[in-house]
Amino acid sequence: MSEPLLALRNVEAYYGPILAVQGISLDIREAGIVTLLGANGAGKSTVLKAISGIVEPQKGTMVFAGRDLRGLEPDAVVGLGLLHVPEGREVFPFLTVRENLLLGAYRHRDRDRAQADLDRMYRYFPVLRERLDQAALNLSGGEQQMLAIARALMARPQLLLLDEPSLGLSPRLVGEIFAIIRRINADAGTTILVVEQNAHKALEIADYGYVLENGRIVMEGAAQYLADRPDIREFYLGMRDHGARGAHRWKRKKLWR
Amino acid sequence: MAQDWSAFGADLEIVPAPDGTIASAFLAAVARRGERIAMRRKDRGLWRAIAWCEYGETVRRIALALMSKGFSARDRACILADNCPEWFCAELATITAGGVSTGIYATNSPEQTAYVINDCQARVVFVENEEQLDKVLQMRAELPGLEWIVVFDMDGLAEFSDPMVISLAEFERLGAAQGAALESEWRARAAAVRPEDTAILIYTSGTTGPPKGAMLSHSNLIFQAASLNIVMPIGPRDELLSFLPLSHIAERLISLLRPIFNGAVVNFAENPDTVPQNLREISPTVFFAVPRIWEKFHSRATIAVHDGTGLERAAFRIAFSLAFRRRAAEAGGGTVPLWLRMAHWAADRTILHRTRKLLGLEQVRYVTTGAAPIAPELIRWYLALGVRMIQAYGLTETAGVASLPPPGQHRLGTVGKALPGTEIRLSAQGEIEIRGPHVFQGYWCKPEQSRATVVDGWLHTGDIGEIDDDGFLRVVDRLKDIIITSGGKNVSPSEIENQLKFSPFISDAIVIGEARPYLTALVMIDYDNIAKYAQDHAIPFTNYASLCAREEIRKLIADEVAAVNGRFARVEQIKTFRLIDVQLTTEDEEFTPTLKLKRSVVGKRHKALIDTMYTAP
Repeated sequence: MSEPLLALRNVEAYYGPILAVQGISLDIREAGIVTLLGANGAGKSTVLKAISGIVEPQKGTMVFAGRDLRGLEPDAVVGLGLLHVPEGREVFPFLTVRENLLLGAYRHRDRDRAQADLDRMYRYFPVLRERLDQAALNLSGGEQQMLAIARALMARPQLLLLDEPSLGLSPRLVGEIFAIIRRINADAGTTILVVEQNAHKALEIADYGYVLENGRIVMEGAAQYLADRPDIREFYLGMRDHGARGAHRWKRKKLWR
Repeated sequence: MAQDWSAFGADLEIVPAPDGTIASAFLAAVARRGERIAMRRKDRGLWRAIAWCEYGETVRRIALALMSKGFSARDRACILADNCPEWFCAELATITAGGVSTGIYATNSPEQTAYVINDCQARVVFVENEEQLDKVLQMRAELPGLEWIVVFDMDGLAEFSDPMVISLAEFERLGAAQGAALESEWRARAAAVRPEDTAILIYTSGTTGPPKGAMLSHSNLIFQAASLNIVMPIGPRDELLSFLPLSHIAERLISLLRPIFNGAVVNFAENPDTVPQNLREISPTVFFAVPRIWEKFHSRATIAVHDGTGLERAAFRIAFSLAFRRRAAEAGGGTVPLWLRMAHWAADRTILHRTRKLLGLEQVRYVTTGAAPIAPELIRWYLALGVRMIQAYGLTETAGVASLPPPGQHRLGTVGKALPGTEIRLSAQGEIEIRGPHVFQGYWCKPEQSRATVVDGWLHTGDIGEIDDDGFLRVVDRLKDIIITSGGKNVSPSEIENQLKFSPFISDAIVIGEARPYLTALVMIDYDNIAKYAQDHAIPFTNYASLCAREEIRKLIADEVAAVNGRFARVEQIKTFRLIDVQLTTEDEEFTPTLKLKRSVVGKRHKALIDTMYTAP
């Protein structure tokens, strides 16, 4: 097998004073969709922040396309073709949709190429075209999420890091966003690492997944394998048998096997 | 660190009288102690005290409710819960109502739970919460004799109603509403309990065949309480932490039964995961734990030191070597040089004290280990740390302790001498046999097995032992676990296993070799410490199984095994080993309630893995 596009080895990182990531190792293969699942506070976002250079890992190595990522500033990481769409979208509220998108292409000075990319974005997200000259703050949550993804895509990333793209979106919008993520991966071969609490959706589009608990990986495997594990079904997909009383609140112990 | 034992034992209050019963002793204890604190539980982050009078009142209400429902003398009640005050109340309500109380391990499966309820023909079962209730309800069709289920904690059950299920609060209200007539009937019934009546059933884990309920009488338990008050005194100023399963005789005796006589305060751990934290909060004065816990604490301390600066590591090493030297000098009988006394004193005040504090053991007068074999090295380490560790030996069938060191006479590697008033001898095969008032009444409804276990008053323990010239007993191993190698030599697997477990990287191990050409081992890694080792050495892994698969980890364990092999003769050396790559929990059948791997279950479950160690490479 070829070298993974991104390889993390024994990465430890702090979230404030807390050691949120306690040594994780993971591989992301070129052109794949990998998902990182975990409950609140499991350390998912910190992993993404460590990769994109927003937080400095205490320990471990991170190699992206043959380059060591350690010590690189976030902008240098972007320069390598690794784009991070943070949780909560973070679009520039007072800029228009077009300006937001063009900012995503700021590293490429080629106007023709930027125009071509813009056109491509309109195909993915027709709604953005309708609102091209509106300030981003007037967009709905789903539209802002689309804008944030589109803005990242304008940089023609090799690897796209998505932090909870479904957060706060209606089920219909969640479906749309995930369909687009799958399409981006299929069309341009963009490798995607998506962090999600919506395990159901994430496992639907991903080909491989890791489960993070308390800063450690407790399970990994092909998406279908994970979707079939009893622990994932009960704790992440919300499926469980209902016992003798037809309902129960207690949770059995997680075993991760 | 000479400790004054008498200060704690002197004010023993309720004297265990030979003609007394647990029922009458409990009522006397409540009457005498009133507002004094009996136990504490943590409630929304705060430790809340429960006085003896509250304890007694709850017991009274539950007992009256039981009787109003038609619970008769000698009827059985089961308790399916983690350690909590309600557990105590349910047991003593049952006992004072003349009944027989039976604990069920909270980690039991629904099937195992149903087995115990049926085997002892319980009419009532007390369950902790929704989760435990579901176990019983799931098996209800197979529990024809069960009449009521009393639930301690109704969280999540507000909408639920069932004619058989009643909340403890409602049950208590029912008890409180009973008139004076029933109350006096209850008191009369408690007084009518005879010492020879069965008080509790303790189900033994039963490695062969289904579990058996050992019948322990009031006089068995009273004798234990009386003997232990002489050799291992505990008093009302002592603080205990209750966290090992109450269904096991050791915890039952120490935290539930003995405090009736000695008035020690029982603190309940919030749950099994918070024990280290609760230990630091409570800082108990006496503490009992099984070897697994002691091994864990030892690993934690050594790993924490390893993480420190070079200076800290050196200081730790020096402190321990001073402690070892002082103990060696004392053991040699000579005088301890002044410089050593002073240096050790300084080390004890600083490094050793800090380590004790880290573990929550800075106030202990002494600690006890038992219920499973332990490596002498581990005891030596705790003694050097300044924690006075006593190794006791006992069985369910002796209502707890059978032997322990007489005060002031500790001999490492032995379990001391028979309890005063009891006898221990060895059979021709070296099997330990015990006689005395603590020997149980037999197994519930299993007369044949009872007759085979107690012959002419002598309990056949199934353990192999040695008794030295001064009468100190050393337990070698379980008779059926002794491995006879192809060379014809007898090997005690637990001795080798204990040495392996002493390593901070090995949490448990099973030595195999019966009817095999050489010895091998299945090893369970200590996940936390190995994960930390992997992090420190940049060994990538994702989860437990992948960690076990790493060549570096195999090598690490191989080094530990080689080090242990160096301490044994050739026939006792482990030729090869395998790692168990599944993270086992207490709910797995492989574990005994005292957190020991079950040889037979492990052997069966991992047969294929074992066979790979005996096939040509």
